[in-house]
Amino acid sequence: MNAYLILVALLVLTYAGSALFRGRRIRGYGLPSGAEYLVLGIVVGPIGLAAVTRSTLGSFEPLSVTAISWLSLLAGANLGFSGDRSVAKRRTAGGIALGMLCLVGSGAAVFLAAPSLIGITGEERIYLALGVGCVCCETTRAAVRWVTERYGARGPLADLMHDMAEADDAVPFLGIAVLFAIGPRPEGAVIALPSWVGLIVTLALGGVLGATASALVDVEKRRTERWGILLGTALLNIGVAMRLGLSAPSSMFAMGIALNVFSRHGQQLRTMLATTERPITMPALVLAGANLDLSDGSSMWALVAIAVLARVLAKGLGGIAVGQMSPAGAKSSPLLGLGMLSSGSLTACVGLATALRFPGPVGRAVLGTSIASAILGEIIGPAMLRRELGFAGEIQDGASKTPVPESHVLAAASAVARRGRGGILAARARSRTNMPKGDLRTSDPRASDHRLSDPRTSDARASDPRRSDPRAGVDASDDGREGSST
Amino acid sequence: MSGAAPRKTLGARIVQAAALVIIFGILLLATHYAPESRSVVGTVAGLGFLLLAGTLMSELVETIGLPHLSGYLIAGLIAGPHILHLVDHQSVEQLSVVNTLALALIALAGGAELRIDQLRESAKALAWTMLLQCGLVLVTLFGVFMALSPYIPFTASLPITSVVGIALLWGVLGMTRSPSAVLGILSQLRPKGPVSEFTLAFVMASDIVVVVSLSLAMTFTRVLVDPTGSIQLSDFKELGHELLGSTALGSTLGLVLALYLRFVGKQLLVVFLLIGFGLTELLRYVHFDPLLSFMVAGFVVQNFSSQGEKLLHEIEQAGAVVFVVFFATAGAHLDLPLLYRLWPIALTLAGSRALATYVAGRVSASITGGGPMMRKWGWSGLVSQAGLTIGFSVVVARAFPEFGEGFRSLAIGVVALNEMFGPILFKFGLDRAGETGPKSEPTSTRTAPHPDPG
Repeated sequence: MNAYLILVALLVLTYAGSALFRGRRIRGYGLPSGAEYLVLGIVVGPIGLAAVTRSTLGSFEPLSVTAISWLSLLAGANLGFSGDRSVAKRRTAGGIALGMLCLVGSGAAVFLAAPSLIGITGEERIYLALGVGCVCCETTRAAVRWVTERYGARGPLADLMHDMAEADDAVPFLGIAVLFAIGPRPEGAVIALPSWVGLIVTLALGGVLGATASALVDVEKRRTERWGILLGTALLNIGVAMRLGLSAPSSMFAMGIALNVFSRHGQQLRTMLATTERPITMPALVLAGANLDLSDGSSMWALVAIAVLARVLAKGLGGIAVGQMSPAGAKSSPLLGLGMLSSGSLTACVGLATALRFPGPVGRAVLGTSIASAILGEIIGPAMLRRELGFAGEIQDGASKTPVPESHVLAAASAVARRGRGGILAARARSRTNMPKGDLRTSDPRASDHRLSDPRTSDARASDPRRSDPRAGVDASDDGREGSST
Repeated sequence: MSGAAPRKTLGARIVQAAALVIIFGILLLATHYAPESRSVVGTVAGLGFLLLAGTLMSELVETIGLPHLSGYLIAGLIAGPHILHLVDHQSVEQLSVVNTLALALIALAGGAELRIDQLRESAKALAWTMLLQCGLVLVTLFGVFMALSPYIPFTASLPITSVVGIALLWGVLGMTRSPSAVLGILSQLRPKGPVSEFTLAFVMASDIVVVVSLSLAMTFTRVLVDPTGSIQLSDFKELGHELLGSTALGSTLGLVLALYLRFVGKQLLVVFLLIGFGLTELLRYVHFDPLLSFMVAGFVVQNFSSQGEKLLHEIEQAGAVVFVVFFATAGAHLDLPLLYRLWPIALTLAGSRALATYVAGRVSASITGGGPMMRKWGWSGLVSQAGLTIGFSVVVARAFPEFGEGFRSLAIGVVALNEMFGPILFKFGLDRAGETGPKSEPTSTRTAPHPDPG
């Protein structure tokens, strides 16, 4: 298929994704972690209908890496935040520890099994173990949010799951930063950095450019110029990291963290960036699915199965530990960890980034594992999470499986407003008293009741009174401004 | 390029200058330690760098009164293959893909800026100016080119009939203006007044005249260069097909766009990308002129629906990023060694074109009763030349391989001068005409208030 046609198809897909999921009509539909787009990629890719050939996919490599890296920026910018609410440091540490446990567990299993199953030894064995570990450690926040919103769950366990799912995003990016730094020089690269230098440069590059972008954003009030700054810095970061043979996603993750740390407008930046998540995730997932390569045969799939099983075990153990150590998890069953099996776009993107960087059995195995994990997690994770939330008494009796109706959303917004958190009543009160907007808006981060938001976009949006005010057009995405600026 | 910015403090300027130094430093280090890279990698870094450096440089040159556009060009020029070599030739070529999108947006915006009532009001003035500008520039450049031909490397050994044909082509090339530069300046300064309004209408309308003139000139030149050749009616048939087809398709696109804006109105960036990349390819495939089609589409949306303002606003939002890369890439494209080699000839040709433009502007303003500011500065926006001119020179180079390459190189040299100084002159003219600054009221969309939540 012509590259232009593919580009147009991806754009159409982006359009569909943005149009469907930014609005309020399809809230709660679709699969929790977006695995359907992975499957779509597999179907149209070389192992499916072969509508896209491997050589054409190769020409899309920079596009893929850019999309993956941009999603990494989003993950970095959101680290330590659940929507606009800060995540407690203890929970961040817990999420990272759980992620590390899964990385080590899955990686160790693959490290032990690889020589006998696919004959990979030496340094490649280390790359494989680390790569597989990186795609086995994450729990997608989209799926956790999807379950809690779909079933109206609310309570300490739901919050804990959210927070841990947010926090463990750091692990795969640090992992691939190490993997890319210790890996062989990429094709065409002319510089060989020692591993530790490579790792430091990866993170420092992101840090410096993130700090630079923060400073520039802070002195720039115009939204369009802010987009220019973010886009320019991000692309420069990606390009330089790739040029040096380093992990562009990891560097972008560091840049996201730096944006958060250094900018006085961190919340605004996160809200801006969140509008790009879904439009970029969908094409990235399709590309990840299309890149799947089954040419290594059944022994490779046995290895993938071992990795996935090890992940299930590690998550299970982690869940038991969380249940024991956190008061929020006290009412959960020992199978709590299985509720955290969902892995989605980040895992698939890390898998794709590794596959592009390590073309060969290592990359194919890592991408295969990421896709298998995502599909298995899609089947088990949401159901188990719902079960655990039910045990904890955080799902109301008779909670509907259907999307939250618009009237409920508005009612909830009114309730929020009554509590002085913005929304319809706040808007009316403002109009009566001529009070400026900020005076009625609360600084309480919980004001962004995440049940009001699209599960796959920033729940910060829910705190915006315009979005719950029917007179304001219900959804600010209608004005198309944020999306079009991206 | 997204409109008038609030005045920045000294601290903000220092931050911007420091950021510019940092990003130059990072890319310098990267290119020093990894001088060769896969082209796609260089392209990604180049794109980011030009976008960021262009934005920052435009802010910094603003402090010395230069237009943003000059900042983009300077950033590209410094980073380009001829000075610091931070963005190599291959990357610059690959980044030219952005031009497709930028030109589509420019044509859409250009068409949407034309309003029937304004065109009716200024029809007489437009017609006179068109006649004088095109006529005088054509005649002057024809004469100057003929006079310089013994000194121009690629014409020195050609027979006189061929030189006449080439001079005719050069004259037509001189008639081209730069819609992108005009829109870029207007978008930044948001002026209000006769000079800015007339310049925009003229530049957009002149595109059609130039397309027709170039086709005619190429037909005549073919006969002059090749004595065995003849003028065939089929040449005009093709031209008619292109013009009518482009107009018809543009009208349809305009109606569809208007309906989309009216009933959906969301995700316009993606729609622009689809138009810029997908539809442009399709139009080229069927041998229609994308620029004309998009211009007609914008015109239809503005004049036959109520969605014109919305379209312009969205183009401005989307174009803010695209135009930075477009002009920065143009800066990187400037061939300095070539300009150095040809500078006396290029300077003479550019100077004589500017002089002819000035004289034609004064005369036409006197004939049509334009105000004193029109007489003084009405010509200032017509000096810029950019991508469109180079695009036409490429068409000529393809059609006449015997002298095409030399012709194209000389065109690039002259465009380099007009591209650098034209926008500065236009900004100067608008400033002097009193159409910029706090007193000027915003008009249309180049003027729509910006959502600046920050």
